[in-house]
This record gives sequence, structure tokens and C-alpha cells, in this order.
Amino acid sequence: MKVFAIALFFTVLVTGCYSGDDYNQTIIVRAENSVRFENQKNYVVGDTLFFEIEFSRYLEEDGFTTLLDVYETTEATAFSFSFGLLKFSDFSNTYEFINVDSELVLGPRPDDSSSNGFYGNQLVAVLDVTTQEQYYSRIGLILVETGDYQLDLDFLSFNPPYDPNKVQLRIENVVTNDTSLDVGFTVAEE
Amino acid sequence: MYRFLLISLTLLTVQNTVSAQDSIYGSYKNQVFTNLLLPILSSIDLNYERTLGGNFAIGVGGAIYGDTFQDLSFDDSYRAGELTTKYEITPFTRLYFNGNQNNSHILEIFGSISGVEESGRYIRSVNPEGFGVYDIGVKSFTRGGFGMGYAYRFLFMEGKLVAEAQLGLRTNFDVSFVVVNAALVRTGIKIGYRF
Repeated sequence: MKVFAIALFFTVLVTGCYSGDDYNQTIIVRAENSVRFENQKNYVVGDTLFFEIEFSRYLEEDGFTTLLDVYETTEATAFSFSFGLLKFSDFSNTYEFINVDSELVLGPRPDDSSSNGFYGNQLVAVLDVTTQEQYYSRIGLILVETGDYQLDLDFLSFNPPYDPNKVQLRIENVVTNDTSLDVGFTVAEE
Repeated sequence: MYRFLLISLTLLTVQNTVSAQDSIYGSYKNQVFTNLLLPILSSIDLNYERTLGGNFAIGVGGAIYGDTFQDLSFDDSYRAGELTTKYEITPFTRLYFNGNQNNSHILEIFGSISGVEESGRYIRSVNPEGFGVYDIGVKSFTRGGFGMGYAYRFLFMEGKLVAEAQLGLRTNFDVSFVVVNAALVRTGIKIGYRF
């Protein structure tokens, strides 16, 4: 019996050296500081606030030294995204998420808007047709109410059109410490 | 599967009715054997066994699997792609209840190192411009496993020839919900030579 136990131990030991393989997962890459927002801080009702999205098609991926070409990987000429708007409430003494009518959001829309994205109002950043190096989008928000606001970009990410036969990939926006984004502004009566 | 069970039961019945008492054959330490069912599944295997003591044996088997063999596997339904086991090496230990020089019931415990190909996997490569690109393709990898089996062994020609009916089940430890994956390996009707 002792021989059997020893043989069993070595059998398990040998096979235990080989671990299973991981499964397909969504590829996640980082786009640093993809939002450009020249915040004027003080607006009046009727103004339009603009900000821009821009990121390279070549992005860093954890665990690899070479940049990932997201265009060649996904063949996507546009990546969809959405953003949120927070308004300060005296009732709760904090910023609250508010829904924004799509009529008040200006910018390029996806051809097939099957999903409204994390915040609703799905938009796209489009590959520059000339250089084919950058994805770009200029977004406008028509301000119709007074109050203290913040753009909510904490969960900003960019996704290619869903196609089960293509690689699933997500680009996450990362704000580096030295370029923290000022997203607060005030809208006053005209 | 049903054919295997039918053959196994038939052999056991014949054994118990015709030869109720095991014979003591000459003592042989080595055995090579192969599974007769695998060629039907466009596969082939070869095993070597060395006896240890009176009731034990250790050995190693190697198998090359064809596409038909995948029908016996239950471990590929929950992945994105399709798993294909191309080959498998199975070190094993055996416990012979009636002694390893007689007709005997056998409990077998075996390890598994298998070469697997999975289609539909994300494969990262570097394009001529020096940037990484993912494509969907076939990925090869090796994984370990563990299994158990039951067999009955018949000896013929003064113990030089051996025939076995075996049922074996192997898992690679992957779990889908609460179900551990499994595949029928080392299962079939085997013949071999002892020396």
C-alpha cells in the first residue's frame, strides 16, 4: 500500500505542474488623458459647453511592451462612448446624476445605436480619415438650467461596434495625476 | 459507450461462469498494451506497465487522438471556442485486487498531461510596423488532469497475453458552474503482451 501511495503522490505531482489556460476575455487597453476640456468655469443659460475626445490608435496594454493597434485589431473606424452630467442638489448636499435630453448633446453618433452606453446619449470618436492615427470627437452640451455642475467622466471608456466574430476590446480613459481634469462649472441666468 | 458496457458485462459474465477460479500464471514484471477501441475513433495509444510488489503496478501511457475522439469529451461546451485534445500522456498507478499475476479487478488512478488546441482564441502578434495586433485563431497549450478508472483483466496463454475492459474518467479541473469537466480516457477494450 505504501508503494501505491508513493506512486499516486508522484502521479499527481507531475500533472499538477501544468496549470490550465485562461479563457478569452475582453482586451482592455488604456488611453491616457483622452479628454480635452477648456473649462470656462462660468456659463450662462443658452451657452454650449464643448469638450474633445482624442486618443491614438496605438495604445498601451498591460503585460506587453509593444503598443496595441486597436484599429487593426478591431477594424473599427469609430469607438462609442458616453458621459454623465452631475448637478449639485441642496436637498442632498451633493452632486446628483441627471438625465440629459439627446437633443441637447451635439456630436457624432454611432451608425447603429443598439446600446446607450453607461450614461446614455451614446456618441463616437471617429478615426481621422487623413492620418488614420487618431480617434477624435468634439462634443457640445447645450446648457439650459442654472446650477452647479460637473461632467462625469469617471467611467469613460470607448468600445468598438459589437461583433461576436471579432476581438472584443475596450479602451479605458485614464487621467494621470499631473493632468487632473477640472470638470466643475456653474451656469447662471443670462 | 453502451457498446463498451455491453462488452464489459459480457466478458465479466463469461469470466465468472467459465473460469470461476483464477489461475496462477508465471510471474511477469512488464506489460505493453493498447486500446482496440481507439483506432475506431481515429486514435491510437500505447501503454507500458511495470509491476511493483504483489498487488501494485505503475506505468505510463501515450495516446494520439483524432477528431472523432472529441465526441467523448464534455469539456468544451462552455468555452468561447472548441477544444481539441491532440495527444495525452497518462502516468498511472494500479491496484490489483487479486494480485498482479492473476485475472483481477483493477483500480487505476492516473495523471494526465494533454496537448490541447482551442479555436476561437485571441492570438496576439506583432505586425510589420511593430505594433501588437489580436486575431482570432487557434491556440495550443498543455494542461494537466487527473482521473480514475476501473478495469478487469484476463490473462491468456499462460499469462503472456492480456485482455482488459476498462472504464476511465479524467478531469482537467475546469468547472462550468458546479460541473467539473470530464472526458472518457483510457476507456475501452485493451490487449497486451507480458514479459
